[in-house]
Amino acid sequence: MLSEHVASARFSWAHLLPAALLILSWEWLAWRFPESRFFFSEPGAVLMALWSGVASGELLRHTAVTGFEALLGFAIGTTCGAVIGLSFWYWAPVGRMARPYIVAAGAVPVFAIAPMVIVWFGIGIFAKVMVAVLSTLFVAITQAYQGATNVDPRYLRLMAVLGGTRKQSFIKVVAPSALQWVLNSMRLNVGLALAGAFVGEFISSQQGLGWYILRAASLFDVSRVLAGCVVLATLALVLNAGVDALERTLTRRRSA
Amino acid sequence: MSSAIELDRVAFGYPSEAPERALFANVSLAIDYGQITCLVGPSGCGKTTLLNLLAGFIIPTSGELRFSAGHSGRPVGYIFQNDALLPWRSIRANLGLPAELQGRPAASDDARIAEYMDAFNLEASVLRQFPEHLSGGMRQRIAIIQALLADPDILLLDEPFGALDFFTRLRLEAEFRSLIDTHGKAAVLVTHDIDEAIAVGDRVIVMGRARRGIVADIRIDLEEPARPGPEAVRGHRLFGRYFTAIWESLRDAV
Repeated sequence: MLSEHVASARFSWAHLLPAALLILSWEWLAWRFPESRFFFSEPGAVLMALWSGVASGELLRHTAVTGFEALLGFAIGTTCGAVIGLSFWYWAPVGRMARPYIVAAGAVPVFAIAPMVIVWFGIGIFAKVMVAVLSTLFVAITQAYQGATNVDPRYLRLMAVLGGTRKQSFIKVVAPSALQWVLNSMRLNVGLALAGAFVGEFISSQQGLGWYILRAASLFDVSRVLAGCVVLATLALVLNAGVDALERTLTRRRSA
Repeated sequence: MSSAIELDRVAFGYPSEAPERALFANVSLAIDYGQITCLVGPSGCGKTTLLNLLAGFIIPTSGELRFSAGHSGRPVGYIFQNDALLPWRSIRANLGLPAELQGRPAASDDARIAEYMDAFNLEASVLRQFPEHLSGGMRQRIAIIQALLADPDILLLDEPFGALDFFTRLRLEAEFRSLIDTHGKAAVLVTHDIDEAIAVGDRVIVMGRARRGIVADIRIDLEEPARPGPEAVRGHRLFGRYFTAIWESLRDAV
């Protein structure tokens, strides 16, 4: 089931068709309505902005900063969230008590708390990492907890009848059963971590794609804004491919 | 013959139900070693609930369960209608679970696994496969072997052959019967199938609805000249008599 999903996500030239159609339509609109270039730019100009940004190394530097913040935030948030979510199964009363708080905290938009995070952790990279952590933590907790509580009761009964302890049931049944849910949370959290790092940079920073895009927007340089967005989307695809690879490795190990 | 387990006036009702609406009450029963005791009855009479009581998944509202002496834990193995093999573990790893949980080396069960695999006509190559690659019949065989590796006194089986095709079912019934005869375990088998109960059982307990508990306890004796295999039991001269006795009890039990 999982491998089928991953296989269906493999690259095919047909996947480029929508992008090609969009670019051609966009180019035609820019040619047909030249005044629209101020608002929407044009593919050639975006490509030039991309090229100059890459050639000067500026865009790569900002991408590396945002990628690092997002990746670290993703790793910390997802790992801690998965551990907390799974441990809520192990200490069920704590899990039941914490659940409404997790739901409430997870519903608060990261935009609302990001300014406070900047106040608490300063304006450096660490604050952006923390915003990314907060963006991913609650999804990871909720998914891991759901995965743990959705374990087939037959497996737990089998463990009980074979004389397994609660700890053994947790290690041998609950955690492996919840793996798919944890992987799903990773897929969701890739985008959320990037958004978190981006929001952190948007609020206060001197580097990163958030800062790059914000500065370009303040100069009405739509081509550079869109070049930043293209890089951000590419970064999301790269991180998503990383999750795909991790998923393949883990599922291969399970079936080895 | 010694008893592996004795039930003394056992009753069970769900907490949300009033005591007078208990699922069953006053069930007294002794399950003997070396015998297969079949539980039959209409849906909702509490067959699986009784099995779950024996397994310790639920506790009786009143009454007492006594296991034979010499065991610290509950000496039961449970085989579910749809097996509970862990899908992310290979068959060998699934069979290694009892040793892992008991803190024994994984290799300590190798000889017994080979013996049981042979008894169930399973090839050694099956050990490298995963549950999803096996047929329902093979998975049930593996589930029975897994239960046996924990060395229980009593095997509890909840309609284990119900989802299998007729041919596989007959083979498994024969293999299971032979295994119990060889190893002298006690077994409690829940089934909806009267033919199956007569074919594999030494005893058929008929349970009734609405707190009636056990309404009939029929001993199956097909030993003259020798007990036929499950595939031939329907041709036994006593088969019809037992079938009628169980059927009439079931009719009264509804």
